[in-house]
Amino acid sequence: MAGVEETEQVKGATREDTQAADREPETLYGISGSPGIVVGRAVVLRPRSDDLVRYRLEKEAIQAEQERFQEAVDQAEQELKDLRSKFEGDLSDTLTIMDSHIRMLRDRMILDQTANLIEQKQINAEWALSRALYLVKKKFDHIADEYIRDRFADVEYVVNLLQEQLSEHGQQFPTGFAEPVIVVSEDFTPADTVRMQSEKVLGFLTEKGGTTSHTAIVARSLGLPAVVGVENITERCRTGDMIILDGYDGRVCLSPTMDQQKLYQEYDRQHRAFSEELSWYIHLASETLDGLRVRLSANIEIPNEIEGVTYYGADGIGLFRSEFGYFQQKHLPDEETLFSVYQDLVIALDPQPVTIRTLDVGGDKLAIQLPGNKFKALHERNPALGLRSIRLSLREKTLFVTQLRALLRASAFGRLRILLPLISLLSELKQVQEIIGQVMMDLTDEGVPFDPDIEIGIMVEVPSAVTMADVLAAEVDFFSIGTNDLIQYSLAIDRGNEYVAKMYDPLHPAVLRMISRTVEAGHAQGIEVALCGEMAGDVFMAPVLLGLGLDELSMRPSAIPHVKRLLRHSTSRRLTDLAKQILKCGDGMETRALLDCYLASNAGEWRERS
Amino acid sequence: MKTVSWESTVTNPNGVHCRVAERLIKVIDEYEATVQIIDRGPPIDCTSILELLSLALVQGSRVRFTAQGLDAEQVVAAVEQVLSEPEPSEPEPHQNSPAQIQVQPEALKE
Repeated sequence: MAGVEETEQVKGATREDTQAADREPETLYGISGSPGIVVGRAVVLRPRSDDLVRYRLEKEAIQAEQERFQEAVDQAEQELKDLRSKFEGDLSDTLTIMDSHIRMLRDRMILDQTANLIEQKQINAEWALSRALYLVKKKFDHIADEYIRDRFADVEYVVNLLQEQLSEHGQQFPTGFAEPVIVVSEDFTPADTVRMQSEKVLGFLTEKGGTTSHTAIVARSLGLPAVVGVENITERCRTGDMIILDGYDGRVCLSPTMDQQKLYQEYDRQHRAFSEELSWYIHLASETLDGLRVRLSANIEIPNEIEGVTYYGADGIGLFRSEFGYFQQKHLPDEETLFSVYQDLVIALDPQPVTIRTLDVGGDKLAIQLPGNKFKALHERNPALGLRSIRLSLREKTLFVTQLRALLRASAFGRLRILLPLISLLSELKQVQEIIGQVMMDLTDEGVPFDPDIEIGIMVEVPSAVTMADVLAAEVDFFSIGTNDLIQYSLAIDRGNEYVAKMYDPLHPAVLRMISRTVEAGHAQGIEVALCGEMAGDVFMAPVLLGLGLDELSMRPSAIPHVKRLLRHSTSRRLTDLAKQILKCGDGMETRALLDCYLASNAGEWRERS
Repeated sequence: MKTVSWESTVTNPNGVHCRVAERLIKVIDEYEATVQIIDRGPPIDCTSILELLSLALVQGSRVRFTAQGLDAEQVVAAVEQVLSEPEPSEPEPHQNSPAQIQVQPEALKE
């Protein structure tokens, strides 16, 4: 099995080193995931397939790589020993075979050979190990005796165990690159992207995903450019290729000419100059020319983004995605850990509100990776329509209560708002209210302080919640429209599916009508309606959202000055008129045409920025 | 330092495969001696199971051994014993194929 591939891989590796130079320049188009332009070498990772991850190391990283390899050997050995202990008292033959496996693991042809290759060739452990195995294979290939030659399968078995250990514990995301690189992969999970927060990463390029994929969201929050949804990029682009990543326009140039590189660097300079102008808006109020105020708040995922929140002048946090706290360690976070994160946020922003969404995992957000693999057994055919988000919280009550206790306790220190995701039924909401009531009683009994008037709101992100918004509005303190999911659920488009991602259209009139309906239902009950999807931070789309009467737009922090500038150049009357007209549109094309006209006559230079 | 050199014939029916190689290394390890084996190429230490295997010592192979160390004399008999051991309780050689070993661990995990 792996034997033949091994040969391929080793050949592939040598070809790779010489290939970059003689390739024709080629431009590929994807979707803009995060703005910015970078020029650099690509490292292609294929964490989702069985292909080997190969990369070169810088000198300083060799020691760490050796340690990583030794650790994997220790773990693989432990695994084999554990296995052996289960056969203890069994056939002595089997035990001897297992002993021979343990011995192979530490055999000099594997261990020393791999270590030498890491050292001398400056390559990662996985790559070195596969080359070591290849050398063993060459020796075994010469064996005439079939029975002994077939023992190579035992060697392979042991090496595969070792490879598994390396990929499990050895962060598939290398940190020891010799120069900063553009990481290319089919897709990244949120946890992956966070692990890669390193000065050695210039940007991200993926095969899957759209504007709202996690790679895109995280890349934006890290301020790194990303292009997503480029078909077959992991095939077309090779490790070591020089590429230009244009996160503004969702373009990738493979093997660019020097002229192209210069041109793109100039684009980048212009974009940066423009952002500088925007910084003037940071300290101004977010209001229209006629004084209509709209809160512009921040969406964040990791607590240390708080710097950006204050830097860009956000009016509080409109959405704190609490999931990250759950993926940082191997075990689930305890109440104290969560509490201290929430407390810090609330104190840092007081008196501005901090809206924290309860655990929203499942669907595309990896319930499967919840520590302890508790939900791994759940093979859902349609995870997006399955046990996710509030449904998971209601099923795993201990998990939910722990988070609610932490939230309520933190509410004593400032203005904290609880946001419940994926509510699709009134009874679901009632169930949550009951649990919150119980937690409040417990806290009171324990004498632990919390804000008894804490605001509780729901995400409106399922079409049924839109339809029932009038009923739901009577039960909560605020609405927050989650357009990312609402668009997916109402247009039946999986934003992570590259074949249909282009049909994911926030400007589809159906979406805009649903937003309008939700705003009206909320206002009729006297509650505020926010919108926290990605579209809130898109200056091209923002006018229609402002015109629909939303009280708050929550977006990535760096988009706030852009939207504020637009808001400060608008009048409420014009925005409302625009929205009225747009609600009559038949499709997204018409919506776009109207927005184009509006922007051309009201905020001229915005058009080109969209 | 004592050095003993001798020739030996592998009589083990399946030759020096995993289990025999493992036994050989383990047995030698019990003595104060290093044992080298010379087949056609350069001598190799009897500590690397993969090098031993790659010698492909089938039944009837003749090889030269060199033992060095305090127990050099005692180790000879031990090595000879392993090389002539009958296959213990093994009706078919393929019973110990790794495929089987790989399947079992899965079954043991809950």
